[in-house]
Amino acid sequence: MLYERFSPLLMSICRRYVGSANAEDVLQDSFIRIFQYLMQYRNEGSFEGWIRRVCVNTCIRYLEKEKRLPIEYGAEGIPEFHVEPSVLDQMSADELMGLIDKLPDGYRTVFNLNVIEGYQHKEIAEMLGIEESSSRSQLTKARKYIQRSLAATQKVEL
Amino acid sequence: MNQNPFKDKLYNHTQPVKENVWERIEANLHRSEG
Repeated sequence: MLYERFSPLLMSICRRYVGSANAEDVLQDSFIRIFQYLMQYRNEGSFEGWIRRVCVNTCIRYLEKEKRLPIEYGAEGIPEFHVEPSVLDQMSADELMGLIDKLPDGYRTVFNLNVIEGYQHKEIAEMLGIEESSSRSQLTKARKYIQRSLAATQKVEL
Repeated sequence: MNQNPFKDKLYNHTQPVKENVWERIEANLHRSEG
């Protein structure tokens, strides 16, 4: 059954975007949309990819509806940073999820879309109705925020 | 070397879902059909 097959995956996606407190509600909305729009799936690309997109879009619509997506502008001058991949390699999925949980909604949304889902900044800008430069700056801020979180837990030095 | 641990560990990450969520979805779908 479609729900049994995909609900644990979509639950994780919902948690990444909206946080654990609201994840079940958004998962429910995602499946309602999936069933409502199932006839529109045209066998173009993978079915799992289509389901993921419906779920991610539902998360974004939820964040917008709840006014949790204030995209900040003017992030010029924020220095790039570097975290050794080996530091992150040693962390569990739950620990990485915990880092994402701490991000402000705007940073978290762009980080999820770019780093995990693999959308380009141009696509993210269209999805969120923002400038491409804003998507880039949100990602830079998200990465810096994560670096600070890691430093706070003494996993990296600033 | 692993260049994107976030994607590698979280793209296919799954989480358990409470049993009552499906009941809520079903109820909503029936409501929208009616």
